[in-house]
Amino acid sequence: MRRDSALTRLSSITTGIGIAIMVAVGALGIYVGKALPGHHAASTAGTSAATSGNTGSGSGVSGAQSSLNPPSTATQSAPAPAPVTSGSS
Amino acid sequence: MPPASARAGTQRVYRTHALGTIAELVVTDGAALVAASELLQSELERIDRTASRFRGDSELSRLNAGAGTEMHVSAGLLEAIEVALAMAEATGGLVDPTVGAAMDRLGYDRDFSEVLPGVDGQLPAAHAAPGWRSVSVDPERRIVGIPEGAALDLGATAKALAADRAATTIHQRLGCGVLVSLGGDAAVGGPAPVGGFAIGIADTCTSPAAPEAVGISSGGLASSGIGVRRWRLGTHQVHHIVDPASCLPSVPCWRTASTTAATCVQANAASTAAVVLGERAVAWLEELGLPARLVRVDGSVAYTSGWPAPDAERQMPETNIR
Repeated sequence: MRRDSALTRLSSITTGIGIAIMVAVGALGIYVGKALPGHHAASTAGTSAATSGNTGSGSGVSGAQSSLNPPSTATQSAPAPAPVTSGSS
Repeated sequence: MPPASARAGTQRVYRTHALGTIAELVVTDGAALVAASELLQSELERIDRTASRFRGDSELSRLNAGAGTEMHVSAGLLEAIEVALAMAEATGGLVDPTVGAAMDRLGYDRDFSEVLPGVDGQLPAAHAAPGWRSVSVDPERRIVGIPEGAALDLGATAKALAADRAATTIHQRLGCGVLVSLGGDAAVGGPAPVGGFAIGIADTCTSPAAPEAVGISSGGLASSGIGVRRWRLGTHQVHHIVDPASCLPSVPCWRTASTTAATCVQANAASTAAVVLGERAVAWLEELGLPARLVRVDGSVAYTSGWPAPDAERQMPETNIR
């Protein structure tokens, strides 16, 4: 009798654990489903800016790189006056 | 104002007014000047229509008016915003496009010609800008969101982006070497003449007699300063280079900062950041390896490595951190 009662209790506990696992898996499935493509979360600007490059322009402008780099050729002295002037505008 | 052109050695120069400043174009093939000027005009109209903060019908104005919601934007505005955010990241937030509302509070909410006589108001209390990280961008869907109450100001990068784009497009379409300068923000496309495209360096881009000149063969050169776009807000003198940390005009240190870099956008971001950074800019620019010429408000000049300064003016790089 005592053994039957213990087995019954064990069976109930096992069933409860099984149901709990199924509920947890279901909840996780719903959560993951919301994270699938088509449910975008706002990206940080830095990430998008760093990876977007020439979005839409096709001009070859590399300004969207998140870095500051020196020119590939040396800045030289030149005779003044010059045809173009750089200054505040 | 009607455009004008003039011969400068073997190069041909075209000038016009656009974006509230002077636009200049130098080509190494005179036969390409007319076609090049048309391509430049097209780019100028595009950037103005897209990224102007002062045109009520610009895309940027519509985006700012919809702050607090996400909006679909054109490829052109998306690129301008992404470039602005990239430069904000590259400068550690020293050049931040989310200072638009701060500009408005300082009275610079309309074309500068209307601000120049002075505007009524008081200097706002210091507070930080919303920050470039608060701007959300979905590049694939071309959706941009800015926080409620915020506004983007692309003035620090859009003009330089237009110069980069125009120079690249003109070279690609016409094959000649080209220099495009928009209000002193200059970009090179294609092969430069021997010694580079000569550019005078002065406090203002309209200065008739720049005391120094440099030649650049690639990338860009830009100057930022506090001497031109300044006005009176109530009883306070203010200028247009705003420190994102305070949303107030940066503390005057450099009258003009000129920098060369891999692109005009990068040069402009660096020169603007230098004005915001103050004395620390010399060490910062040295660390980045960016050639620069910096003029203090008292007229003294500092150079960083790579800038061909006259020997008499050259000073040792300053490393003191304020």
